[in-house]
Amino acid sequence: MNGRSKLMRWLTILGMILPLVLLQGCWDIRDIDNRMLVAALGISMEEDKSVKVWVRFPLPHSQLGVGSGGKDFLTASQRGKTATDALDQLRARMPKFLDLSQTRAVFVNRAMAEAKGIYGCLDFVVRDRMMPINAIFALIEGDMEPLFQRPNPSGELSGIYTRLFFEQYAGGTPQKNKVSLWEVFSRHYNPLQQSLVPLLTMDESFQFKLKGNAYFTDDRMAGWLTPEETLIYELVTGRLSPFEIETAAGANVKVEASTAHISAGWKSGKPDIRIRIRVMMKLMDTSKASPMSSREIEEEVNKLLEKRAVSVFAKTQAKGSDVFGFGNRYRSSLPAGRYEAWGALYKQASITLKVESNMRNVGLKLLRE
Amino acid sequence: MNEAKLPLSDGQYFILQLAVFGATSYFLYPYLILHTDGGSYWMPMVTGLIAGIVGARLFSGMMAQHPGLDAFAVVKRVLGWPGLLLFALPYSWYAWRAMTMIARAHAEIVSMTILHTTPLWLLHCTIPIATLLAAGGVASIGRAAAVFVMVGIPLTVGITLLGLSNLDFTLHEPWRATDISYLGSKTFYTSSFVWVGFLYLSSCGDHSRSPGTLWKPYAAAALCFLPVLAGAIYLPVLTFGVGFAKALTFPFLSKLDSISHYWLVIENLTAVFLSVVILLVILTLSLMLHSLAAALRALLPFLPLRFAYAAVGAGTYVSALLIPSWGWIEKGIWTDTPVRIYLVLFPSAVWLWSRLAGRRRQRA
Repeated sequence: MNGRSKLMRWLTILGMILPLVLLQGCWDIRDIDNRMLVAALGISMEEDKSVKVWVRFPLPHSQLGVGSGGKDFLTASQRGKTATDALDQLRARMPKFLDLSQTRAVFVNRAMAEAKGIYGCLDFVVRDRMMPINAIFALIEGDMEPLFQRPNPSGELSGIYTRLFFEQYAGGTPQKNKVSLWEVFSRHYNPLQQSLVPLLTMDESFQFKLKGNAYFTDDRMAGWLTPEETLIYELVTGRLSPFEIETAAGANVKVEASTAHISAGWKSGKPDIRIRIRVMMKLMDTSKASPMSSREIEEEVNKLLEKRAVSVFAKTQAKGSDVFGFGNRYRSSLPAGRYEAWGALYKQASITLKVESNMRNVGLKLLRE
Repeated sequence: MNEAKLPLSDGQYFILQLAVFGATSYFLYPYLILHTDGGSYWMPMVTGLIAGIVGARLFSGMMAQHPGLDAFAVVKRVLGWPGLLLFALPYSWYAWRAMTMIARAHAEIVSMTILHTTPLWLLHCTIPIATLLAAGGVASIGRAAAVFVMVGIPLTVGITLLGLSNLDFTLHEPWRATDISYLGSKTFYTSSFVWVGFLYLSSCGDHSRSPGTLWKPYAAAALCFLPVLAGAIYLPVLTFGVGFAKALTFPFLSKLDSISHYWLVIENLTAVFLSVVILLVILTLSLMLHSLAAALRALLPFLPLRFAYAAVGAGTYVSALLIPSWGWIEKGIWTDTPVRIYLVLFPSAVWLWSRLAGRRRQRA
């Protein structure tokens, strides 16, 4: 091999290695210790209609116990004209980089959801991919300060607590109705379905408790369903996880699975929605004072759920808020130009719900007396 | 540099086409298809697929006229220098523009999703790597493709399967099989850039034992990739609904962002996906660079091969850096559509000419 080709070979190898060194991408990188990771973000509307942003940063534990008074988190808040403006002003105060990329929970206060709507204060999330769109979203009733200032009672890091509260693998129940940010955005762009978002209030022992689930009309909160009423939403939309209900006669049953068959048609120019729900359940407890047969319990459960459904549909129809997404089933029969009119059509819709419950086993009744 | 005509099997052509589909399908295609008129997104996809297979059939038919030669040499032999100019010049223009836009688009996506502070001139280092790979010849590209595709395609398919969570089938617009209004959409024609991968193999015809059947690996790759391509469009629609999916620049990447499972170890699925796609982008760029260098050599036979690769690589790198905005890329892919369609239809002119010439010879 002559000197020239040897040189060319070395140059080629160098030419191959150099871009690989550069391609690992570390450039102007902000190290982890130069960032403050936001775990939970709150946005509230103040009395003067300005926006206040709350952020909670988890802090690494120090054996010396110095910094932030021994707490494992730091809370900061900032007012601004908009959420983006408040975050910009907050950045001006911070010694480290404000990193929203690990945000686990986003809260908006009820006043803002009712007066201004939620999309307007959150659109910066999708415009600039600065926050994960799978973060948990919830509304907060009352002052946001205690939520951000109190330590998590069960010791979890900020943000993780909220996720655990909603996730089915931890403290989640069907009544809590976990909602991610992307679901809120999706409903905003879909005139045929509205959002149903958890509404939380402060709790004495824990960080917060579920008050109900808020429904929306044109991006603004229009009302809320109680946790019991939310179960109808879960049954109709098929998002159900096992839950317990108590019948009027004092029997406790656990709904283990359900299937909903929805037929959507038209009757006299109005939407005609018929829902048939099959519920599989098992008996958890029964009243010894007035023992009931399985058939009687099934009938009680059917009546209870059907009655509750009537109230839920009446509430949401009054505001034209189709949280169930019935409107999506009319895509083929409704011209795209009339999608925006779905809210008005939903108000006039005839909705019937029939429950067929089936006791899969009789649980404790198998025990000998 | 290996100029030896090492044969490529149909399997290798299939792998190369899979890589091209993987590299070109995610950055703009879902956005374009979602913005076609109608709402039955499967129709523009299937139409594109059929047109692609027909185009590949024409192209391999042209190559089959003179086995052992690449597309430029075939055109030169059939149509002479005027024909070569009519083919190689538009081809060079198209390949150069397509390369710069693919490289820049992926650099922008990486910058937006993973490496926010890394300068673009550094992210464009995919181009020098692809140039070195191209300089190794088609055989080197084929061998590298086998490795890249072995890593890239299973991960791409796996990530697409993960996207099956949170689907709501009532969110889909009606199928409307009779609605052909998409044929009037600008975005439908713009989306044709995904289906012209066979053009990038114009410099590889001389490596094929039977160039006339080269359309078969293309068709097989297109059919195999179709479910993944459909996933890139339908998974965001069935998750976010049409309205939100249409409002997003990268609906499929946002779909990946929305995935959250307790058992999923990987937190940033989008970053994994993009890293995999970058491998396929490097491979595709190398194929395109190789074909562009071959076009240059056909036009300027005196040009040293090394110089051709260096010039093409440097030119692509500089032009990719000069692209001012994402909007420019969208516009650029649209304005190149007539050239793309011209290049796909050109083989039929070659075929027609050679038929006429054959008849003339018979009469004589």
